[in-house]
Amino acid sequence: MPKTAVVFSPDVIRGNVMSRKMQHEGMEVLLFDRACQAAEAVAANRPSIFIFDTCGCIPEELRLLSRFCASDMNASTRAVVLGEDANPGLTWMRDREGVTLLSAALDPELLFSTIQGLFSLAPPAAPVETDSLEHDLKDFLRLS
Amino acid sequence: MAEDIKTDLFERTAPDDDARRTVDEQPSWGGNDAADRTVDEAVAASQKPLIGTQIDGADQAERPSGPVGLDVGTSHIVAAQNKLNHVHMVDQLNAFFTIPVSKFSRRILQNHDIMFFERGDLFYIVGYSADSFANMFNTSTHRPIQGGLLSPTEKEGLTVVQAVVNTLIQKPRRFGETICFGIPGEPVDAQGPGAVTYHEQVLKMFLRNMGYTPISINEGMATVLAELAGDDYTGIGISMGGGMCNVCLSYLSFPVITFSIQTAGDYIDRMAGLAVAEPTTKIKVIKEAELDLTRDPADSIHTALHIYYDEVIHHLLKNLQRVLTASDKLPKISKPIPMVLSGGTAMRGCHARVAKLLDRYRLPIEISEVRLAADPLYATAKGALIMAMTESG
Ligand SMILES: Nc1ncnc2c1ncn2[C@@H]1O[C@H](COP(=O)(O)OP(=O)(O)O)[C@@H](O)[C@H]1O
Repeated sequence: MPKTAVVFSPDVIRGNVMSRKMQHEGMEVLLFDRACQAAEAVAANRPSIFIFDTCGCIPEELRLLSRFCASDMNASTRAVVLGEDANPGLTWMRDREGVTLLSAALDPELLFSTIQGLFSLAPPAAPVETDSLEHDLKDFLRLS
Repeated sequence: MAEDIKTDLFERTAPDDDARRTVDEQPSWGGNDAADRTVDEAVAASQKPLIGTQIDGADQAERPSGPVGLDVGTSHIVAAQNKLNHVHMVDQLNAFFTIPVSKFSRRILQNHDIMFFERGDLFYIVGYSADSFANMFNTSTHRPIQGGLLSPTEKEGLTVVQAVVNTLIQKPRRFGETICFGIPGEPVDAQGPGAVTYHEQVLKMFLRNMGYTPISINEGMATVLAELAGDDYTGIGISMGGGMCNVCLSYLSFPVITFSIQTAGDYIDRMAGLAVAEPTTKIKVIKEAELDLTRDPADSIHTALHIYYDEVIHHLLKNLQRVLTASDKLPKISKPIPMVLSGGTAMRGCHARVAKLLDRYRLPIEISEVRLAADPLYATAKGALIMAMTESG
């Protein structure tokens, strides 16, 4: 499960709604309404998730996002960009690894399940292996 | 440079404040124990029983020793404080009555412990005392904030509100104590934009001068904080008072959509009175003592009250539909959410009527049920107290 997120939204209400949902699900969230500060926080804190809401963004902010994702973003951070596929400012991110495009509609539940999905595709972590080992052992001993 | 959401469970309404805090604070990933404890205490306070007192003489006001919640309503002003085993509420009528200045009447007022102040050649008698005086003179009291909002054109408004608040609370024991007061949402049906800003700012100035650190909360949001703890503070809170109905859709304790309408209990009294040619005061007494909106009306006064209650409810729901449908901020919420009603006008079976009439409106979100607040007259003050406690940590 992702533990930390940096959220950028130029809209205070959208930003808070998304942040509240993730915080409610147990994540630590840093919320910004300025793109450059959000990018700095991502670079400094290496969160699991960087959410970038393009709804109401100015072209400068979209350019900053593209530059940041291309060069400065840490490999362990996954970006979820909320925006429309048709937006010419977002064409750069098609097929970009580590970046997921989600519709701009304010759907915090879908956003969270997308984030969960991204992390369930990640290589299985140690505790899962332990569980299955334990399961195999129980099977072997006919305990389960 | 960032907001640590974990430390800030209950959001205030002013988007500018939110934006400012978003960028002014230092990042902090971890939980904040002190802040978490404060939130826990605030939530615990919301479970305590409410004990209410009406203030009916001068000099009874306390000097609060902790955060305060304040509901500045059209009809009443209520102050809430967190005590050891209960939440203590004091309420006062938000009304005044004037008599000409004379030595004789001054002595009478002082001898009888009546709350008043002098301005020009008039004594302003405030609070419940004003009601007694008005009855004596066979007339009715005046409201300092007629439509629910202090206005720069109403000269007495702020002075009377100050005098009424002073009968409930004095300056705090600790300078800078947090006080949270309820403010209406922007009205959809009257006044230009900015009316709420004036109301909010003059109250803030007054409370700051008393020695408090004032913060505001939307009245509908206060209802959510008081009533929807078990629903993760997600739902629609509506306070239905004398002059206004205030609506807030909250998502996980964040006020996403707020608005108000300037038709409520007073409008029902006035219109029903006109319809049956009876004085408003008589209609109000009957409404508060006898009306049952879940039963068929028994006479012409009850019939008129039913008709105008329905009109207010339709006006409210029509605007709710309009605002929700037009909003681009409404989050998709898969589970139906509750609607909770507070305030004097929500009583007497109004919530059942709202539930019934709601069937006629298609909202972009589903409502699971319509509830009445546990203490309809105190819910706003209680919600404001929860907010004050959360913020004062
Ligand atoms: N028991 C009651 N039954 C019906 N209406 C009531 C009752 N008590 C108060 N009201 C009405 O509620 C309104 C005032 O409600 P209140 O919550 O005190 O409002 P405000 O926030 O405007 O001060 C008035 O219209 C009053 O007539």
